[in-house]
Amino acid sequence: MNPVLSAQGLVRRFVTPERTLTILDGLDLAVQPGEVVAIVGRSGSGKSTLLGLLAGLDHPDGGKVTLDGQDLATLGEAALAELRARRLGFLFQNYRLLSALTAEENVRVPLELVGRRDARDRARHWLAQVGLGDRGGHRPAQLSGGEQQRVALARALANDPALVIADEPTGNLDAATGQTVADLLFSSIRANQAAGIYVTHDPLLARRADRVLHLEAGRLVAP
Amino acid sequence: MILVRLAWWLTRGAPAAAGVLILCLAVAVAGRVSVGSLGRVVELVIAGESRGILGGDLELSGASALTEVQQKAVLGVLPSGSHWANQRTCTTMATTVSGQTRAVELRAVPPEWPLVGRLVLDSAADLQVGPVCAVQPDLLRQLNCRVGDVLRLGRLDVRIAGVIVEEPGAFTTPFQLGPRVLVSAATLDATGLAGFGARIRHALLVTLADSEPAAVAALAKAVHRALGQDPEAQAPPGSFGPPQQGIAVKTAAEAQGQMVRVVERLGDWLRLASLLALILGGLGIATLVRGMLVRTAGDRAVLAILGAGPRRLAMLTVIQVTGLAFVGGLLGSALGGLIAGVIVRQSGLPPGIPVVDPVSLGLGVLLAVGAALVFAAGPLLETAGQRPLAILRGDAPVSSRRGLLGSVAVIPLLLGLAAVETRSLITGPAVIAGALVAGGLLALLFRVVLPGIGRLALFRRGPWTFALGHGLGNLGRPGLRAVPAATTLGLGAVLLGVLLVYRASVSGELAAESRGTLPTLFAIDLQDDQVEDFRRATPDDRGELAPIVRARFRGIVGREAPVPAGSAGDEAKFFRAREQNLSWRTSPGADETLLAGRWATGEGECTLESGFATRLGAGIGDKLRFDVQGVPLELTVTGLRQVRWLGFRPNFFILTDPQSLAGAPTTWIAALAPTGDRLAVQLRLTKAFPNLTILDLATIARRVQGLTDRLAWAVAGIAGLALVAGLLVLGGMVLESARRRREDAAILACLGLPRGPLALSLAVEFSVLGLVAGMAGLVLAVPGGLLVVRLLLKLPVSIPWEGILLTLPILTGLTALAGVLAAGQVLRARPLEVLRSD
Repeated sequence: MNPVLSAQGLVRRFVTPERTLTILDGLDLAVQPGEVVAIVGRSGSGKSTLLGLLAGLDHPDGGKVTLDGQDLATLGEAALAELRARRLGFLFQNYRLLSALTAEENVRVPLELVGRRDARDRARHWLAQVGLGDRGGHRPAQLSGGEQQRVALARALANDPALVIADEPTGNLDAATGQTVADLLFSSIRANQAAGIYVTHDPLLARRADRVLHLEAGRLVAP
Repeated sequence: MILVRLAWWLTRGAPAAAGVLILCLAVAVAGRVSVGSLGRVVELVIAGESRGILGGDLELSGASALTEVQQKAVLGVLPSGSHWANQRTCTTMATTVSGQTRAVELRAVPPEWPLVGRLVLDSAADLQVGPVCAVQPDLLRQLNCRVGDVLRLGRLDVRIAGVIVEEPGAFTTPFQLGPRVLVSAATLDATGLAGFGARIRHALLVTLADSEPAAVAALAKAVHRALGQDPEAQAPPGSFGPPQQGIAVKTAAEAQGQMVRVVERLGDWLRLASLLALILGGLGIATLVRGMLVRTAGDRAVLAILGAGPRRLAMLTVIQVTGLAFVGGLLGSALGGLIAGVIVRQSGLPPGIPVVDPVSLGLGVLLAVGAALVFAAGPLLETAGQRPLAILRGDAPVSSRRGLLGSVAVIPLLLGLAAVETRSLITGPAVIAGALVAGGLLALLFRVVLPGIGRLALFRRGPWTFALGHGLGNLGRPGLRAVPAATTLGLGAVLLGVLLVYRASVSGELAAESRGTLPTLFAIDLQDDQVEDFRRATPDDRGELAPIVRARFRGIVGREAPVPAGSAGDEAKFFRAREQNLSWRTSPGADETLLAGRWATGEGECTLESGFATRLGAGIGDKLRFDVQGVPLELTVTGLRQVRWLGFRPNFFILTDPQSLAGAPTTWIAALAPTGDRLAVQLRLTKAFPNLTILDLATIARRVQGLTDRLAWAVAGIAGLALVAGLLVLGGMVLESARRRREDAAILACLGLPRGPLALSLAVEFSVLGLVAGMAGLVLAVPGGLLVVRLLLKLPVSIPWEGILLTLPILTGLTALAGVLAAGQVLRARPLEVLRSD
């Protein structure tokens, strides 16, 4: 079976006036369809940098990333954006909802970006799926942290993505709320037969993945 | 549609910033729309009233009446159904029984007059019965008299029978030397003012059954031919224009054109002022768009992550800006229409003409959208290409160089627009270039001065002194946009200051009390044989006499090029076609400077006023041909002079040597600077020389001042809009930094700073900002005003220090008020909520 996502020999360096930091140093990764991978590592080890490269939001200094069989390096900005809209779902630690939009409007954004006519219905469906069917008209400021992350989850899953990328999805939430969001995340990914990759500091959350990888010295290693 | 919807969603999320941007555009556009609407209304009025302006379809006029042969020839070509009436006009003195005297424009009309429209008096008086007159209301006020009183006109006592309410043909010139007095032809003859040597303008007015402009123009040609004149002669410069007899033939459409040109010239200045307001508004737009991009950067990054490509994101901003500009344009058009409507109502123009029409509305919207997109280009380019992750991390680079390039690209557009708006490749672009240079200088100055003020380390013991220091410190802190805010306000101050200098300079030049030894009385139509008597009668009045020989310009020898098309060509035609006053002087007068060449000393030589020479298309060495009442005269241009016209001494476009005009019919003009009572001298001369017209320059100066005041007020109105735009820009800049200010205030509150000192810190920050910006702007306005007044108006400069000093606290107060109002949310916000949400 072809992996939905693969990275080969990824290198990413940051140049500062004092020195050059090599964050990723020949990293390899393959995520199979339906597989959920957790990435753990120390702060500053490059976890978020890796997610950015995997999503085509940043360019590697070496190596290549393939998503759905397409080499991201061969795609222009517009094509990358199109790919993200259709095939990827994102979940951030601090939710990243558009503050001026209501919950329903936030979920409609990725649907409308790909031109779906049923954007409103699907947005309502996904809000109901995450237990917020009655909060669609509320703005982010009127929602709790857990509720905001559930809206973000609905937004991430709205387009039936092939891969959901999550960066510390429960990092800003208390244990109970984090548990609820994690339950929703895993059940939704699996129900949609999507793949998932997430970074976390939480060992309990990491353990729920099909596979856990440590990011150390710029490479992924099994624990 | 997603982009439109997203644009609406994002805009809806920051209603205050959107509102300020809309207001900025509305204010910037309102000035231009009001000027355009006013111009259109006036043109429509003129077009609708063109027959009324002339008093007929066709006017034949000249310094002498048509001979019987000429009149017969003219009447012979008139189509059936035509009507005609003779009218005579002259300037003379009206004296009351109590001895008060004023120059008036006396018009003698026959029973069949008016041919077009109607004469409306406030009484049922019949001008054709007895020695009676009707007067414009101004005269009653000036002479402190009423209907029924008697005026002496020439040698006749004439009773005032009524006041003129409406008079056809009243607007043939925008400027007349005195209020109008209407009498019958018989009454004029009885005054003795129409005798030999009198400066009477004779006009034969004609109306046709078919008053279509084409038919009237065809008849004008036929009349020319009937008089033995070449109908095309007035157009090309070298083709020896108006006829031997000097009879000008003017159609209603041509009279309308003259009025339109006067309106257009006024419009040029107002459009320029409104363009300056648009530039200030544009700075606001740039600031607000930059703020919008900064505020929504995170949202845009998220959108990029969710799959919106760079083109879509750029389009999103363009849609946002266009949408807001559209609303601003509509609002500005409505506001401009409202302003124009108020002015129309105040100025007594006929109501009923729609002030806001689809063209004005379209112009307003187009201008708003165009300006918004042009001024948004810089900020858009600054942030183009930022990567989403970098934005979310907060370290996305801002390309100042690209932003600067985008802003610089606006300059040629502005210069081009200024050239179009003023119809001049020099005046408009020069003023705009000056404004841009001033803006650059102010920005550089504030970049140094404001951080310096911010570093003024006052002792900070207790909340109040801490607040004072914090307020001053904000002027130098990055991210609070103090430099662009001060630059915009400073530019507004420059505009106001230049206006003050302009007004003071014109007023100073016209003020009678400051005229010193300059003439205050003019006596015109002095005959050759009266010169010695006049000199004897005015021994202590510092008289200065100048001869006048009237002539027609016939062209430049060897120059057959056609007059350029457009208004400049029309102006050139007018200056060629008018009756020229030739005079002679052995050396330059007190108001004259020889710019080039040499003084005309030999026979057949002349010097020209430089502006007149430009309009004529003549230069040194050219040979000019004149017709001096039937006698051809050729003069070679030997020099060009600059004349200070507001000196009000007898000055002339064409000065020649005495020999060239020997034997020509000459009248004299005398300028007097009496040391005693002007009115007494006026009365004495009116009695001794009834044929003379004595003009009190103080009265004329007041009229000129009235005109310039009206222009100054109109420009001041636009400058006021510019100031409002500047204050709105300040508001926009404060809103842009509102989040940071809220956070700072919340932290300070948590650290123990009460609300009162916090309010003080804001008041101090914006007061000092207004003070510094106002001071710098007003100081810069002095050389700016000097340049405008000296180079464009060629007047001596008066600096109104009192007015400038008074403007400073007003500007400071307004800035403080606008800043504190805009930053009001900082004071209202609850610290815990702010800290939790941010």
